[in-house]
Amino acid sequence: MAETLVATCSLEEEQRARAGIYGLLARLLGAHPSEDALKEIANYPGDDTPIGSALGALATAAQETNYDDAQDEYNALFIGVVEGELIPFASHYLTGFLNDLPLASVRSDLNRLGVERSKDIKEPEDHIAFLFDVMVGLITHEFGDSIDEAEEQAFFEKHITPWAENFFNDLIKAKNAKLYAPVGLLALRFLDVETKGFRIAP
Amino acid sequence: MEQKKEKAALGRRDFLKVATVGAAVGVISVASKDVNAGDVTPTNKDQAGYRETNHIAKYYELANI
Repeated sequence: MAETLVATCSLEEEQRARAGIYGLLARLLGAHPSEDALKEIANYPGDDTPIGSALGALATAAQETNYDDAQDEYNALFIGVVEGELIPFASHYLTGFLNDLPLASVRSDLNRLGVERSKDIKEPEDHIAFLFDVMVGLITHEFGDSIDEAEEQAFFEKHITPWAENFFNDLIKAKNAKLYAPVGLLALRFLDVETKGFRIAP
Repeated sequence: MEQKKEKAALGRRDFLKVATVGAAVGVISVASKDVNAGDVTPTNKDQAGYRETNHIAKYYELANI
């Protein structure tokens, strides 16, 4: 515990910010927001940077919805009666099938990193929210101090880059998306920053 | 060689700082408060189904200090 605490406190401010954005996106994409989450998201100040203005748009959308509508929207987008409007899994986007080779590839890397999904989670690990969760764990060194930026970059480029932009472009255009349109916008702008950032890395 | 590596790392950090740090103010504290309120369980286990993995909850818990 003490060790983890030190590791967390020693995070650089941009690592905290990146982990925060990945974490926020993972939460919103993994389940519909709670009442408290909606209230607090509605208070995001936003600013005129690409990410800040997307957060501002998300705050406005959060002000215009409520818990029940957000839950209905989440279900229509990602759950559905048979299936949702969108299918947020790497396998689906890359091969047209669920549980295909891209999932096997994610699992193989998780195995190597010594990470497994929490027992509460039933969905396969190539869900976009799970992949963003993994990025948080890599950035915060929750999976071990030996994990460096090269590992973050490798995971991002292998499992997120090949399909996430297509998925979030579908999300911002989805007919059910109101709160989730700015979620998609935030994700697209953040993926752009991450992609460029990794290119600068040594 | 070592110096060059250092410089590149700084460039990346500066870039990410400018792009994310100001904009993301409040994002972490919001998330952590929410987790600490114990509000992460989906209402219908068969439906929404996706909870935070444990490491995330732990991270937010720590970040809230």
